[in-house]
Amino acid sequence: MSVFSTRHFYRLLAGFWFSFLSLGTFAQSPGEQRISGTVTSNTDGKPLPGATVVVKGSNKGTTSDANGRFQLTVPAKATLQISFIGYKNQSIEVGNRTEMTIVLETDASNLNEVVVVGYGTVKKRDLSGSIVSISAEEVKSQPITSFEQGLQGRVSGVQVMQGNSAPGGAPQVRIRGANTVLGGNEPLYVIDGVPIYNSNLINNNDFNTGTQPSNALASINPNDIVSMEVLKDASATAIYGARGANGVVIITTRRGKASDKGKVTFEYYFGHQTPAKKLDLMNSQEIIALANEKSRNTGTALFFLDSAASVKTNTDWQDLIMRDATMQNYNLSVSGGTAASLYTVSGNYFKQDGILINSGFKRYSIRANLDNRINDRLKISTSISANRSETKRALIYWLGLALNALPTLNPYDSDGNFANLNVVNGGDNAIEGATKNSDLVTVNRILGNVLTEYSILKDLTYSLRLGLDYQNQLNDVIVKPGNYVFPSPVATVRNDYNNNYLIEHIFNYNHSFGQRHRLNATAGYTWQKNIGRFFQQSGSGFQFDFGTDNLGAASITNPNFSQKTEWALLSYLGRVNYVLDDKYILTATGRADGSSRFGPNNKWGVFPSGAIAWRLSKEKFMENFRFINDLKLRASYGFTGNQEIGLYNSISRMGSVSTVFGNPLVANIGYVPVSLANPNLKWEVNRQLDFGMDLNMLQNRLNVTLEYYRKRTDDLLANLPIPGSSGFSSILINSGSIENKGFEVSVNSVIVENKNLTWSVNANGSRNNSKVLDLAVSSNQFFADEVPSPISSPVNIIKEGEVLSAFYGYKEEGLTEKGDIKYVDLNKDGKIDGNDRTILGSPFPNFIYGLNSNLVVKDFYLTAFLQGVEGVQVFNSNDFLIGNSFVRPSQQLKEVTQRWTAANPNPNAPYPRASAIQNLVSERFVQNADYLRLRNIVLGYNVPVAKTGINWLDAAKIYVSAQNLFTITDYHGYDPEVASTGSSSLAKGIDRSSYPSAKTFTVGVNLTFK
Amino acid sequence: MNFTTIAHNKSMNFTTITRKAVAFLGMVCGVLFSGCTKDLDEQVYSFVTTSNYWKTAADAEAGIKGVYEPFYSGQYMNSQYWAALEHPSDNTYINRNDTHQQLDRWDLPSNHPFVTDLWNNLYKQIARANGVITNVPTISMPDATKKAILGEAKFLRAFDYFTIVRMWGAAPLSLKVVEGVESTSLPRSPTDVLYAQIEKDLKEAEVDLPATRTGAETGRATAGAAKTLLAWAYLTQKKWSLASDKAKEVMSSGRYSLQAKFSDVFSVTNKNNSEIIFAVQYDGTIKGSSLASFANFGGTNNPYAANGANVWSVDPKSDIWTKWDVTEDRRNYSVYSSLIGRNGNPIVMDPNYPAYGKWRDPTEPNQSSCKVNPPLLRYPDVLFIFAEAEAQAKGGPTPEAYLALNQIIRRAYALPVNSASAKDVSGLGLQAFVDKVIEQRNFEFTLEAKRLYDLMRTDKFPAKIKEIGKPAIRGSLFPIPQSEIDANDAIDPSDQNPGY
Repeated sequence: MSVFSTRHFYRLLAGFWFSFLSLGTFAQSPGEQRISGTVTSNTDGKPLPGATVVVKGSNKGTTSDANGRFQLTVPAKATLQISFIGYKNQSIEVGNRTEMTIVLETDASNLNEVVVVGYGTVKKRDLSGSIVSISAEEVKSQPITSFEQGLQGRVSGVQVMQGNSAPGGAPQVRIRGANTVLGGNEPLYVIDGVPIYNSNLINNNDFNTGTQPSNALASINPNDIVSMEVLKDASATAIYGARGANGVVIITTRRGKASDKGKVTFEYYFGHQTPAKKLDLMNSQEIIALANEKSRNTGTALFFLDSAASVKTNTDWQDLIMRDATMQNYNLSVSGGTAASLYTVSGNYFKQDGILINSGFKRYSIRANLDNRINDRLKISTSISANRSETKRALIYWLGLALNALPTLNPYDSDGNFANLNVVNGGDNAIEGATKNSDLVTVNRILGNVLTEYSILKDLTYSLRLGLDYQNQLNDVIVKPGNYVFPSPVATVRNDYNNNYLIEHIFNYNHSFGQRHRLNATAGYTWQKNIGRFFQQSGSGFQFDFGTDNLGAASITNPNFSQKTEWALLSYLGRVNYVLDDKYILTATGRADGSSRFGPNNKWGVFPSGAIAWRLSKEKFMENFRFINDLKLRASYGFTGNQEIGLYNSISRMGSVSTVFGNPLVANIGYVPVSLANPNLKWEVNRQLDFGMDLNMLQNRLNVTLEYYRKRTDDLLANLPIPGSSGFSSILINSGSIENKGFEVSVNSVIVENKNLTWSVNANGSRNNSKVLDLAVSSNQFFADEVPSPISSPVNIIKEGEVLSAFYGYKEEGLTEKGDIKYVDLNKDGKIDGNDRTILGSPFPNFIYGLNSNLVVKDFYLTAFLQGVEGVQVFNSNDFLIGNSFVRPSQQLKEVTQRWTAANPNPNAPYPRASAIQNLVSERFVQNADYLRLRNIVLGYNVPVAKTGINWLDAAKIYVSAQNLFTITDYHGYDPEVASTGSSSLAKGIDRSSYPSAKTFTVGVNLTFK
Repeated sequence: MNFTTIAHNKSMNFTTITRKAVAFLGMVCGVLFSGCTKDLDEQVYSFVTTSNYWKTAADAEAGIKGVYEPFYSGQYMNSQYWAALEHPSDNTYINRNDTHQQLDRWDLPSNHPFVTDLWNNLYKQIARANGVITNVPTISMPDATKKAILGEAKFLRAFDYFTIVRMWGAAPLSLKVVEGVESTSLPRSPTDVLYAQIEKDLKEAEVDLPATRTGAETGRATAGAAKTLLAWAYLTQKKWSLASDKAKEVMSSGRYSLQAKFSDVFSVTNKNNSEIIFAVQYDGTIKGSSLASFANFGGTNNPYAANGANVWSVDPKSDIWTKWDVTEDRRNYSVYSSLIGRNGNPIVMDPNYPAYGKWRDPTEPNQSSCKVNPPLLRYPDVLFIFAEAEAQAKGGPTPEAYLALNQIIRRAYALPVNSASAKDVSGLGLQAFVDKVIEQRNFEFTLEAKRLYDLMRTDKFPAKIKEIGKPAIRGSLFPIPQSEIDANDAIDPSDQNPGY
C-alpha cells in the first residue's frame, strides 16, 4: 500500500488552493492639433516600429514607422494610448506638445516572456506547442552535478530517474514515457544551438560491468545555464525531425548584458553528505543461529563450528564501505560590456566525494560567451566552453559483496592489513577490493559555436552557426587486486574521441501585416557530422604498480582494440507561425532529414507537424471575465522520428575475429560476415496528438496548464529472429509499435504578494500510461537481459499489451507446511514451471509529481521542493541474497529473524524456513517503490547590502539547505529511485547494489560585486 | 530602411561595410555547400562490407580462419560442446546448476540454452564455410593454397553436419551463402542426405588438404583429420569395411603415433603432439577455455586449475568410477576423489562428487584461461575405429584388430605399446570384442565428448542412463531449438524430435 497516493496529491493541491483563497488578496487592476513623436523601448532606447498609437475614446489612430516615428492629428486635451506587443500599454496626455518621445516599458508579465524554440524564439503568447521553460533559479536551487537533474520534478511529463546516486552518475530522462525498445530513449539536448544526443562513449550499459554509469553531460557546468526549455509535443519537436521523438531539451547559457557593467559574481557552497539509509542487518549471533539452523534443516555439517557466544567479531560492513563525504562548488563569473560588445566569462570547480569509499566526481569548467555587434546588420555571437570532469566510478560489485559479507568476518587481520577471506569462505574481501580496484572516467569536452546573424532586410535575417563538440573520454581501469579468484591485476586504458561538427544556415522572416496579421517564418539547411574513434589497450603482470601509466611494463599484453565510426545528418527545415488578430495562432513545421544511418532505400525522412491555438481570452464574450488575463486552447499533431538506431546497421558487414594457430600459438585474424544487409532500415516514426490549455488569471498570480497527449511509435527498431540454421540469429528491421498517453497538470501560483511577504507555490503532476502494442517476434514477447548470478534469469519482459520492461515472475501464496515458499500454480497443471509466471509490476511510474513552495519574508526566503512518483515497483535483487533465509551463505536482513521455524510455524511468516531451496523470481522481490521525497529545502538570507553600507557589494546571499531530508516510501532497499542498468538496457527498475543515496546539508554564499 | 541609410546613420565608410559584407557573403558561400549528400553514404572504417571482400588470396586466407572462429564463440568449445555431449551420458553427474543438470538428467526443455547455442554456433560455422566454398573458387591465387582452403572449409562443414546429424537427426542442409532475410527458412533434410553430404565433403577434403601442418599453420585441418572423420562417419553408419579401410589408411600413413604416457597427450607443454589429429587450439591468453576449472575440485587450492569449481562431477554409479581399474595410470589421471592441494594439505572431497582430472593447466591465471587443447580427433580414434570396424567386417577380431586395441590398453598402463603385455585382451568373440572396444573408448575418451555418440550408435541411449537412475524423460535425440522452430517457416512445431 502506498503511503502517499494520487488522492493525497490532489488533496494536497486542494489544500494549497484553499489557503490561497483564504490568504490571497484579489487585487484587480486597469481641437485640432498635429503632433508627431517617436516610440522607443526602455531597454535599449531603440525605436519601436509598428507600435499602435490611438486617441483615447475615438477610433483615430496610426502605427509607428520603421524609425518608430508617428504623426497624428488629435483634438484638444487628447490622451494617447500607445501599445506594442511585449510592452506595457501607456496613456499619455498630449497637453500642448507637438513633439513627444514615448518610452515603452517592457512588460514583465509572462505572456511576453520569450520562449526559446527550435531554431528561434517566440513570445509565450504566440506559442502553439507544448514547451515548458525552467529558469536558472529553479535549476540552481539545489546542488546538482549535471543539469538534467535540475529537470526532476520541475516539468510535467518529464521523468528523471536519478537511478544511481553516484557522484557524476547518469540520470535517465524520459519525456512523456519511453518510446522505443531497442533505439535510444534519451531526449535530444540542444546546448546553445548545438544538438547533442547523450550517448556516453564509455561502456556503461549494464550491471554486468559492475560499474556505475558515467555521464558525459556532467562535464557541463550547470551554473552557466540561464534557462532550459523542454519541448514535448510534435509541434515543438518536429523541427528536430528524426531526432525529435524522445522530446528535446534546449539549454541556453548566460550572456552578458550592458547593464551588468562588469558584474562579478562569486558563488560557493559546501555540502556534507551522509548515507541516507542503512539497512538493518543481522549481527553475528543471529547469523550463526540462522546458518546452523539451515545446516540442521538440510542435514549437513554445522556451518559454524564455534558456538555463537564465542564469536566476538561483529563487523558492520556497511559502515566500512560507506562514509560521510563532502562536496564543494566554486563558481566565478564576470559579465558586462557595451551595446556593441557583450561578454560573460565564467569558471567553475566542483568536487564531490562519494559516500561509497573510492568514488567521487570533479569538474573544471570555463566558459566565454561573447556578443559582438559589428554593425547594424551584422552580429557575431560566440559561445564556447572547455570542460573537464573526472569521475571515480564506484565499483558497485564491491558494495554488493560488502552487503553480503557475514558479520562474523573481519576484513582486517590482527596486523591491520587486509585479511585474505578466501580461505574462510571462498570469497573476496570487499573492503580490500573497493579500496584497491579503481575505475576513473575523465571527460575533456570543448563545446562551442559561433553564430553570425545578418539582417538582410528589416524583417529578414540570415544566420550561420558553426558548431563543434569535441569530446575525449578516457577510462582508466585497474581490476582485480584483492581478488583471490583472479589475483593478477589487469590495467586497461580506453580512449574515446568524438568530434561533432555542425553547420546551420537559417533564414528568419518576422513581419506584421497591418494590425491583424503577424507572420514568423523560419527556413534552414543544416549539416552535422560526427567522427568517433576509440583505442583500448590492456595488460597484466606488472613488477611495479604502474597501473595504466606504463602498459609497456606489462608482461602479458592483451589484444588491442580501436575503432572509427562516422555519421552524418543533412536536413532542410521550416516553420511558419501565423497569428491572426492576436487571437488565432497557426503553426506549421516540417523537417526533412537525410541520415547516414538509414538504409539506401530510405535515406530521407520527412516530419511534418501542425498546431492551432485560440486565445479565447481575446474574444468579446470573455470581456466579462476580467480576472482571466489569458486563456489559450491549443491542439497539435505531427510526426517525429528517432534516428538512434545505431550505426552501420543497414550494411552487410565483414568483421574481424581472432583465432589461434601456430607453434607457438599466436593470434590469427579472420574475417567473417557479421550482419545481414537491410537496405530498408530507417528511423522509428512517432505520431503525437496533443491538446493543451494555458490559463493565466488574477494578474499572473495563477497559471494553470493542462495537457493531454497520445503518442504512438511505429516502425520500432527490432531484431527479427531468423532461423539459426541460416548462420545468423537476427536481422534489424523496423517493426512494432509502442504507445504512451497521458495527462499533465501544472499550476504556478502566487498565493500572497505584498511588501513584506511573498509566497508562491508551483505544482505539477503527470500521468503516463505506456503499452507495447506490437512486436516483431512471433511469440509476441521477449525477455530483457538476464540479471546475473545468483538470479541468472531475466526479470523484465517486453510483451504486447503490457508496459515496456514489465516485471515478470511467480506469484506466491504463503508458506507450505514445511515452511517453504508456496508458488502459485497459475495454469493449474500441477507443477511450478516457467508457464506459471505472470506480470508482477511496472518499472515505470504511472504518476509523477513535484511541488515547490517559495516563501519570501523581507530578506529571508524559505524554499521547499517535494517530489514523488507513484505506481512503480523495483525488483530488489539484493533481497535475493540478504533476504533468502540463508539459501546461500550471505548476510541477512534483521527481518529474517521472523522466518518460519519449527518452533514458530507461521504459514504467513515473511520469510521461509532456512533451507537450500533456491528462490524463484517471485513477487516478494518486486517491491512497491512509490515515494515522496523532500528533495530540497533552503533557508536563505538576502543581505541588505545597501543598508549595511558595504559599497563594494551589489548583492549578497547566504543560505543553508538540505537535500533528501526525508523520503516516505515502503521500499526497503537503500533508495526506491534506482536503476542498476544503463539507458540502453531493457532490464529496468532493478536494484542490484545500486549506489546508495545521500542526505546532504549545504551552506552557501552568493556574492555580486560592484 | 536601406543599405545606405545604415551607412549614413552610422557615419560609416560605405566601402568598408561593403568589403565586410562581401567577405562575409564569401564565407557563407564557402560553407553553404560544404555538406553534401555524399555524407549520407555510410563510410566504413573499422570493417569491410561483404561486397568489398573475397578479392585476394589474403581475403581467402582470413576467410578460412574466420570459419574456425565459432569454436571460440560464446561458450561453445569453452564448455558447452563438452557439457551437451558429456552430461547426458552415463558418466557425468551435476550436483547444482540447473542448466547443466537438465542435460545430466535428460529432462531438458526445447529452449535449453547450451543446445540452442550449440545449434547456432554449428550453423554459424557452416554459413562461414559456405562463404569460403562459394567465393574462394573465383579468387585468383595459387591453386594448391586455394585447394587447401576449400578442403579446410569442407572438413569443418562436414564436422558440423556430422555433429548435427548425430545430435538432432534430420536437420536443415544449408550449402549456399545467405544474402538477406529471404530464403533463410530451410526444412529438415533426412539423415541419409546429410550423411551423403558429409561423405562428399570429406572425400574432397582428404584430397585437397595437406598431409601435415607445421609452423604458423599448426592446428589447422589436415588430410589425416578428414580421413579420420570420414572413417568415424562410416563407422557410425555401420559401413564397416569402408571404416576399417579409411582408418587403415591413416594408420599406414605413419604420421601419427601414441604418446608414451597418457598424461603427455594433454600436457599444456606438449601441444599438437604426434597423437593429435585435430584439436581446438587454446593459448590461454587470446583464447582460453573453462575446462580445467569446470572439471576439477577444490577452488583455488586445486593444483590443476585456477579455480576448481567442480561444476561437472563423475557420476559415482558410472562405469568409469565403478569398473575402471584403480591401478591404471590413465584412470588416475582422468578421475580422482582425493588430492593434495596447493597448500600441501589434502583437499577434502565429498565421495559423492568425484572430479575429472583430465584437463589440467596448473599455471592458468583465472578460470577461463585454460590452455589445454581439447582434442576432437586423436590417434586412438583411428585405432578404435579400425579395431571395431575390422572385427565387424571380418565377423570377428583379427590379430590386427587386437593389436590396435591392445596398443591403447598397454599405453594406459604406460607399458611399451609394441610389446605384448599381461594387460592385453585376447580370445574374445565378436560381440565381446566390440563391447571391449566400446568400454575402452569410454575409459580412453573420458570427458572428450564421445561416450554419448557411442551410446547412441549402439542404441543404448537413453536406456543406459535410466538404468543408473536418471529421469531420462526425453527421446533419443536432442530437441530442435525452440528458437529455430519459431523463426523457421519450413519447420513446424510438429516436426520436433520425439519426447519434447
